[in-house]
Amino acid sequence: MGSVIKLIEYYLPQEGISNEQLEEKFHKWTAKKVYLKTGIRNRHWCSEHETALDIAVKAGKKLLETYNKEEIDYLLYCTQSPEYYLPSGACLIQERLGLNTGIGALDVNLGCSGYIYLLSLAKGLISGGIAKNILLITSETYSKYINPRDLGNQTIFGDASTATVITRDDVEHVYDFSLGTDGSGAENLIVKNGGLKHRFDADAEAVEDESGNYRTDNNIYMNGPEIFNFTISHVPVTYKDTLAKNNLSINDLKLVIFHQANKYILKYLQEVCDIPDDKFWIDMEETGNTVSNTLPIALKKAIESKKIKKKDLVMLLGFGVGYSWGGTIIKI
Amino acid sequence: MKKEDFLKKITSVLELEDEDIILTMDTNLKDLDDYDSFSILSIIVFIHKNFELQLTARQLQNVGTPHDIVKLIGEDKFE
Repeated sequence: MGSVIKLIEYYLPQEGISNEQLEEKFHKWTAKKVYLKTGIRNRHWCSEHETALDIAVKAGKKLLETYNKEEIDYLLYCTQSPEYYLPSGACLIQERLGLNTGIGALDVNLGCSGYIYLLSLAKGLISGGIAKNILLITSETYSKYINPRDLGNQTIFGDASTATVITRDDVEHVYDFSLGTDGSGAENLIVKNGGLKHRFDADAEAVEDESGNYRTDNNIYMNGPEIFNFTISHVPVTYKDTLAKNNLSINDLKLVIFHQANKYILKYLQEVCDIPDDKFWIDMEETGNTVSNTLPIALKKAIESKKIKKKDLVMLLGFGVGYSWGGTIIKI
Repeated sequence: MKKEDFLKKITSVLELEDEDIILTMDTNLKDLDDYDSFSILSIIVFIHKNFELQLTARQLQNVGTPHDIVKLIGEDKFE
């Protein structure tokens, strides 16, 4: 018995933020420079009153246009932009999508590695005979954590949501995983205030960093150089380990999709891992870094563009906040 | 690596070619207009690629000049 990804859909919020708009707002980097530094031309952000849950439901509804919702028997929802402390977003999505009440539903709090962990949990639930048709939803609105005067993070992050159905199959299409966690890097990508340790502070002072970006402890903080160091220490090892665990080589794969963090970093990882251009996916120009959404969006686009087709083997590898990382190989 | 080549490469990494800035071993990088966290990231990549050495952001945040970077990498790596 195995599992297979049946369908993927994604949703991008209406509001687009272009490099030209960032140039006009900050008068610091030209639109061209933003593109050269990040490989991003545009990103989508939710409006003030639109939440991650709202767009999660939109992605879910899009998917349920072509999939019978009565068949869904489990829901896994990955977000770091929760609607409430409690209840879980997954319970709210069950109601908003009109899914059966006889389903399991829970939240997963992970960022850029989230989709890999959703796949690993779904595979386990299916192989354990607990569920047959699982809806995986990722949704993220980091834009709401970014200080309006923080150009660095505004260039990088975009909001998005995705919905995937993974079902039981006679043949296993989700191969073995290489997973990793290292909480010692927590401080390098963090929203410090707003939880129960440090409450949201309306009077928090905005501090300027060495790059001229302003933020308070209510906002997202990312130490880009340290995140890069984490990436270069763990991604090539995880890439090799994922291949080794499945007794495969790059020659067996049609495509490698890493979390779409930043074009500059991706190009360097590609070089270190020695992956040929025609097998390496880079596509973040119109969406930016959408956190746990980049892998399913890339997968959907690669299928739509016919870059990959049935029976092709594809590596997916996510890495980021936590630190948390993981890779697997799927058969389309 | 020759130190003049190192300076040329750092000039390229920091995208200073078109800005009429002549980098010397004693230029204070923090005085450059566009020197920011992305510059530090670019230098980390450059050093990793060319010297198989991984410097931390903190090490580079304390760096003032290309000469300081040479000291971090190790004088013995330069001609």
